[in-house]
Amino acid sequence: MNADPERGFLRAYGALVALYPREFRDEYGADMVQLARDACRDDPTWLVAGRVLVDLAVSIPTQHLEAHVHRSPSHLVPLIYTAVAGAGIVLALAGGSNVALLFVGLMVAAIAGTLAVIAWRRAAPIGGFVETTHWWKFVAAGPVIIGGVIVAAGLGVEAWFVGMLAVFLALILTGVGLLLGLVRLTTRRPPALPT
Amino acid sequence: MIYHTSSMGRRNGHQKSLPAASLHVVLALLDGELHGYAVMQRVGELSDGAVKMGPGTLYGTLNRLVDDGLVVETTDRVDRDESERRRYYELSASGRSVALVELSRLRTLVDRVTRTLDGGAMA
Repeated sequence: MNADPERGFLRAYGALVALYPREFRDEYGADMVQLARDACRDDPTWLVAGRVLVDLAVSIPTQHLEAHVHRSPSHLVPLIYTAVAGAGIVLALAGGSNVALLFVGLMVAAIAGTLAVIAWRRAAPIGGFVETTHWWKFVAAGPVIIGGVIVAAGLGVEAWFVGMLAVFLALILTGVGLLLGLVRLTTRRPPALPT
Repeated sequence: MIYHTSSMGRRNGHQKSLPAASLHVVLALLDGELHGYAVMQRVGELSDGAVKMGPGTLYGTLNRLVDDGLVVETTDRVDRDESERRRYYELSASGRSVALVELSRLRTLVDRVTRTLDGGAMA
């Protein structure tokens, strides 16, 4: 293994660790760089770098949310990436015949969608029931957001693109809420295990 | 520990299932005390290479588990090589108990699915 790419990667990773909240990086920053160094001894640098890049994309927003809401934002990060993926699709559609916008929008949708799936798989319990208790909050969020858009439009706010994104997000949230409600309805009384 | 966070909780007297990343870490620590990179390697072994935790996810998860009292840092418990600056972790008594409950839950899940499959095969 050539030491130069490894040294460059570790230097870049050490710099990117600065993107974590201060307390987190003060506590674990040196350990994280050490762990990346250890990983480079066992796996090719490009493989470790790819893995670490995905890890940064998922764990940096998670740690920032934890620092602000003081609890595990287990389902918030996947939801944020889902919304970004939705925004990418809207951008691709809004671009019409503009090939550059179509390409950028679809790339954003693909990358954010992949990160949403990875973040969800880390946050959700293995083989556990889907948490459906708060389904109504998702259903209610849609009309509330659309109401906000209507009020803003009534007040003369001219931000059609933001409004369109908000309506799109509202539809996604309501759809997710209805889906969770349906899951809750069908799994309320799990059948007893036959003896 | 840094934040007041929780990777587990209780509802209606039942312990909620651990998130996947936390579950992998507590199962890896069932072997005993490990440092961060060894936890990552053990998680990879247990999952047949399917799960490779990155540094941010690993230390974020360890931070939550320490905060919840399921894992304790043991770096200073014994004298170590001066050149070694690694931090070591192990399960607390309640962490071990949670890990065993999770194992039992997964075993029940596998049993249930196996019985369903066997029933379907016989039908």
